[in-house]
Amino acid sequence: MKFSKANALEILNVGLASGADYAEIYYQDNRTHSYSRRFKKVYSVSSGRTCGVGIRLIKGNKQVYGYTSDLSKKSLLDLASELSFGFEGERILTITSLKEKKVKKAMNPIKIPHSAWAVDKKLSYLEEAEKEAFSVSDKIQEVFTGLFEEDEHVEIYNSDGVIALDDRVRTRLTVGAVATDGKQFQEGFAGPGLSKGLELLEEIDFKKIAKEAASSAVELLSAPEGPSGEMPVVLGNQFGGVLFHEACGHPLEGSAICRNESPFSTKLGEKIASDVVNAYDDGTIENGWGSENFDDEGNTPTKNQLIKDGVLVSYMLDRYTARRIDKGLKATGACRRESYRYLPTTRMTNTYIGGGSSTVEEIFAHVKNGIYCKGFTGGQVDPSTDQFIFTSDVAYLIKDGKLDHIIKPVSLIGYGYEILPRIEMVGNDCMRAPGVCGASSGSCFVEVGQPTLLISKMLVGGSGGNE
Amino acid sequence: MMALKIKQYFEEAKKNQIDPYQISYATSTEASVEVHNGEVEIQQIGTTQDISARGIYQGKQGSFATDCIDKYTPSLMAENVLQSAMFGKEAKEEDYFHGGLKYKKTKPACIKDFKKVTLKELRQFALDVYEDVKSRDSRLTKITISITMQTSESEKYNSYGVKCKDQQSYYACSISVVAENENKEPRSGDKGCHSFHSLEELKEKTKKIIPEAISAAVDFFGSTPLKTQKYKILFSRPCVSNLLSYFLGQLNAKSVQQHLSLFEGKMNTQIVSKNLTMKNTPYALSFGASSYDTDGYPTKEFTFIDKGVLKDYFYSVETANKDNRDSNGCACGNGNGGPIVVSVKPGKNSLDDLYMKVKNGLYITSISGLNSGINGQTLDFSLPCEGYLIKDGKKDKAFSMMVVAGNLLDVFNNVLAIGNDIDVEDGKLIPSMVIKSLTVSGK
Repeated sequence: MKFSKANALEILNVGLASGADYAEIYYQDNRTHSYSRRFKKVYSVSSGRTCGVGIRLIKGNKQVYGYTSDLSKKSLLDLASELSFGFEGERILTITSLKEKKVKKAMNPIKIPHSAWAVDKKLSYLEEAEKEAFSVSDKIQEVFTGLFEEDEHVEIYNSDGVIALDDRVRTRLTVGAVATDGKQFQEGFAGPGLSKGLELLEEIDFKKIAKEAASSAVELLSAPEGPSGEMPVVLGNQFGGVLFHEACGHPLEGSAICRNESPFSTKLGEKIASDVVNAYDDGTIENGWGSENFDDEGNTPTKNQLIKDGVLVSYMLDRYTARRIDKGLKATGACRRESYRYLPTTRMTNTYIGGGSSTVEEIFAHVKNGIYCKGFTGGQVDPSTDQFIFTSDVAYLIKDGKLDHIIKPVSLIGYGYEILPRIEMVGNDCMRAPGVCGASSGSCFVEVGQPTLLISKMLVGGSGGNE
Repeated sequence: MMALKIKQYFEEAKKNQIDPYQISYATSTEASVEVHNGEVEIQQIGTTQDISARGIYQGKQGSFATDCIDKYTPSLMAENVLQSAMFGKEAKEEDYFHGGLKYKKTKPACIKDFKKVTLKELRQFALDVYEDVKSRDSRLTKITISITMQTSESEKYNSYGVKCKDQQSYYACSISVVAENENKEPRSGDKGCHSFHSLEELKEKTKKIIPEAISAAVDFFGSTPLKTQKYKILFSRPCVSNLLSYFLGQLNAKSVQQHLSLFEGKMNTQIVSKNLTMKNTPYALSFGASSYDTDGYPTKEFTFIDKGVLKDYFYSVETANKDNRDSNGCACGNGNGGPIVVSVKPGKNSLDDLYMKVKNGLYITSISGLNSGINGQTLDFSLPCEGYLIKDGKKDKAFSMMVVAGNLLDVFNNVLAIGNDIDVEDGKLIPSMVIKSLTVSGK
């Protein structure tokens, strides 16, 4: 442990001096290594270490937060003292003991730690992926591959008397390809990642993934502009789950709910989606990209069903947002932050729509004229209005129940509360994919996921107009 | 904070046969207050220090960065740079700046003022703004005010004797509101402003943006998408700034050398509208202003697009060497180049003049989805937008839930008029602009 129990108690108690009812120390030591290749040679090998402490005090509905990269005891006592001036009042709480919280079952077992392989072995995977991508077509102008490794150690000490220690290991391979026909450039990308060690590279078919990224870039060269206007949309499985992440996940985060800033703030127990929709935020998925043994305030993660048969049954909450909602709700193990420099808040972990009963063929057969969005580059939402956007970078026209041809990237926009009831069919092919979600507590690793879905009507924004 | 003993860092590098070696060091202090519906909900203070190094070992470059600084850091950094250099990118000594040029100082205008301001004053200011906003419109149901002050100092050293320092401080205010009409339809709006001078100036600027933040919400009650068609478009300053960021990425000399830029071979040719002139202005009072770039090379003011004609790419020392020329002080890491602060030459048109230039079209005040809706390689974009219809040369009803799509080359090749409303937007000095025609999808 970074701090002795005596030092941690002293810091917490200094923070509690002016009436705070909760105090917390968050220590983070994050080490990353990045390797990349471009132009058929090593482009960069770099490493970094982020290490610091955040101290949070809560009194009622008010939070004060401070952070520093100076880890000396004096610095931390000074910070706790300065933060305590954020409240005016008498001490109501003194902490006398701290006890380590045990991990019931390790969430992310690691087979091959990052230190086990030499750098040239890691780089050889990138070189192989690069070769595969170039082999797809002579139209491939450039291939960039990357390997990201993170080894993070987190310690949380709080005024509940809890010490939570977590070691987080993540590995991600990325392959991007740029194709050109001399007139234009198009991109393809793939980036599998999990809370695993280097076994990830042995378990995934990285050659196939590289080829798919390159093929996608080449295919887009001949793609006409996409249509625009309202139409049926089939959302592909896996990263198609960015729809749920944006349209429903963010508005169900405690940060939006507790301020009554979400269209779902008063909808607990009400029907918000069609009957076929079941949705989860599940921080307990073994080796999930968004899985951790403890969240960033020391809670144990949960499998939190958010929507059951179309009915809103739960929110995602952290300690602060649960207390603000004040309905006896508890934290769901989804309090997260990018680093000690961020005040933590409720964030998604691994969020997905559960599998249904329809086959993909049955779903296509229901669409006379529409689009099939297979790949997505990301999106965003305004939680107060629930307006979302996401961009499909691999999309096809559907005509008479069958895939017709690829189209250039299109945007899909709408309001989550309008789209959820329009989910007509849910496929039986649920898969998840890693992503990075940016919000008020910084960038967090999350998984999105879903089976293939049919949305009866969505606003599509392509450049081809609706003629 | 531990005082940086720079000599030790170079001694450790020398021991590990790393040469040349470059150290970048920055400290930052931040204080912020957030008031939500009249209550001070969040107060935050933070101090950080960050140090990074890069260096060459046997012809290859390694790098390392950390914010953990103690007596072991000099050796830790050299060891990590060495480790990564063993497998790193091939690099040359001449790609490090060898010094010998003078630095012009930027203007850290509010450093003195900053030291006088307390968190208590920020709290009171945020509460005052809240009361002011609340009193203006009874339809406002949620009001969030954030006040931030931040100061940062940075230093850079290399083994060729380069030594440069800079600092920047600012105050910022952000107002976010949610309003509801009689049908309980919620609409959100936000607006921000900043000052590089003083808290007093921030207070004055804040008074001006309060009506704009409220309008951004209440004007859009009942707004709907308009017909899908091509429209003449007036883009607001923030929209121009966002779009320009992606366009400028194509002027990175490294992308040009790697044959990945649409502007390869276009020097001294018309690449955008004749109405557009753009400068790199690193000493302007703006976010990101700096007297040196990431190579430690002195920044300089220069015109890179003159009346639509491309006059220069953005160079680092590395890319300048490849083109057998001098850097123009635009390095932004790993050999890449980008502008320090872009200034677009303003026009003479007021906003009302620009409405008249459009006559019938759209005034797009907000675009979103930038992280996924623009392809930086092809410059194709498809972004949700909202704003106002312009009818007979006047601002008319609001619209929302539309998607503007096209290619940024078309956008900046079809600039019909430029406003005189230049201001700092996200580290750029930007005016509003009228674009000839773009497809906007709605109904």
